[in-house]
Amino acid sequence: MDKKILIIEDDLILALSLEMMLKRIGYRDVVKVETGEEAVKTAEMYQPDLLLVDVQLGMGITGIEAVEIIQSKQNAPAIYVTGNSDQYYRSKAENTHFIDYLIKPFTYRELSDILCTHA
Amino acid sequence: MNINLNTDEAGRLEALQSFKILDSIEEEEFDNLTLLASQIAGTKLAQINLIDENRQWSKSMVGMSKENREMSRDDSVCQFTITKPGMTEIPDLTKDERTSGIDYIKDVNGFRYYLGIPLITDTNYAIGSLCVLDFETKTLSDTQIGQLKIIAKEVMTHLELHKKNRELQQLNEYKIRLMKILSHDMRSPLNGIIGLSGMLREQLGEEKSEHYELIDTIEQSSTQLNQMIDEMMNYSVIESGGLTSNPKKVNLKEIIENITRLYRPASRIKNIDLKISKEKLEEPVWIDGEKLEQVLGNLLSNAIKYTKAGGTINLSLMRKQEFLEVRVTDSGIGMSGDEIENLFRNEKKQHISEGTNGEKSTGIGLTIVQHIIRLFEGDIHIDSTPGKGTTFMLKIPV
Repeated sequence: MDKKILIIEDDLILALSLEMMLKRIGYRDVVKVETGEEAVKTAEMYQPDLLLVDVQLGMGITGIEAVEIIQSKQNAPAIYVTGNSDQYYRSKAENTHFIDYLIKPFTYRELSDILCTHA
Repeated sequence: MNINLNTDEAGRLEALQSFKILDSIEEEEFDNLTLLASQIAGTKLAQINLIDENRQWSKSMVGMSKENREMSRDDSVCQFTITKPGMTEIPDLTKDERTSGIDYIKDVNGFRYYLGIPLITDTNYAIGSLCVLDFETKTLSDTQIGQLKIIAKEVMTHLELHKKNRELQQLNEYKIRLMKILSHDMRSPLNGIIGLSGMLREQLGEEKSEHYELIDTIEQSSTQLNQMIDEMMNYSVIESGGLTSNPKKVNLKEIIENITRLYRPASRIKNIDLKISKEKLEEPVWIDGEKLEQVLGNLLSNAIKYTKAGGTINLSLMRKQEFLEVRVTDSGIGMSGDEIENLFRNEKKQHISEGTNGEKSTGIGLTIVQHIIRLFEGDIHIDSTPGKGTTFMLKIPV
């Protein structure tokens, strides 16, 4: 539970909810950013152990592209969250190191089970 | 014709461009009008010409080689027709100072007779003309000229309709895009609600309090909202023609288990007895499982919506050789013949009836069912009696 988690989510409400859920599960060190570019910069300084990433972000690079860049420099697996089951992004995600690919809306239980089992 | 033409050339060109007709393909509806014009006038040639900035372009032509579809505006006779609202008749082109110098008229075997009627938009711009031409001078009767004017109006009606059609298509595409964006973006905040209410439930632990009921209601509302978003998303995919089937080897028992898990709680809350029967489902089948689940889910969700507390719903799946037979029977409020007829027609669904507990509906669930079954090359049959209940029967090739 002392792992550092970086949330990359452009929807502020969901980002805040994810932060609250993670803290409830027991993760104390959680940082959230809104764009892929911000994520790349933050990851360099913050050195997260896990990335919780929205696949499609409103602006700039996609969540998957951000993960690719971050993982080229450090070893932090990702949990992807996405609003649709589009195969295109799913196959893109295969090129990165990821634990799960969650389709929105997922429940608190689903998220906490994944974290407790794999992360 | 008592109209004043708008004469500013920039506005006229803009009006012409708005029809997006220049350099378009040949179309029978225009060719028929041109043919009719030449027959009425008794001339060898007839054309629908549009006058662009520096050229004349023919949308349709009779009695003339296609190579002449385009010519310089300076060589066009119709350039004069578009300067005034009435018709322009030149009985002998070789004797009119405006046209006598044009090469194809100077030719010994060239054109002699011309009559053109301007094509005028509803904003009073003349964008081109309907014209008839001949190699000998002649005179047309008032009746013939009157008929040609009607055809010119008809040409404009067709052009306006094309334009309106294109605008409607664009509007529809915009609507679909908006639905896609909305259904995608709404999932994030909805996920916030679903995630946090689940977290609250766990926080309460075993303690059963009134908060539990509140959380139940929040969860039910968000599940319903999510279902509507799903429907909206699917509908937008169907509307944009993007619905495809991805068949895989599927275990039907698993699908039934998923469906039961999803819909059992809703039927329990409404005190409806949900019975499931399955026959000969041991062998896996080749089908798009996600879409089959969606069909069953939509039918069950409707059955629950329109069945009163204490009622019964039967879901049965049966393998019959090369077919899968699905029946969803409820003891609900039922439908009249007219209602069944309008069931799959969205444009008729101005008033979507609420469920027996006031449940809301987008009314597109059944449209989605119909599209998926069509995609599966299957059949739907509905049997219903008002006040007694409804049975949906599906026959899907597997």
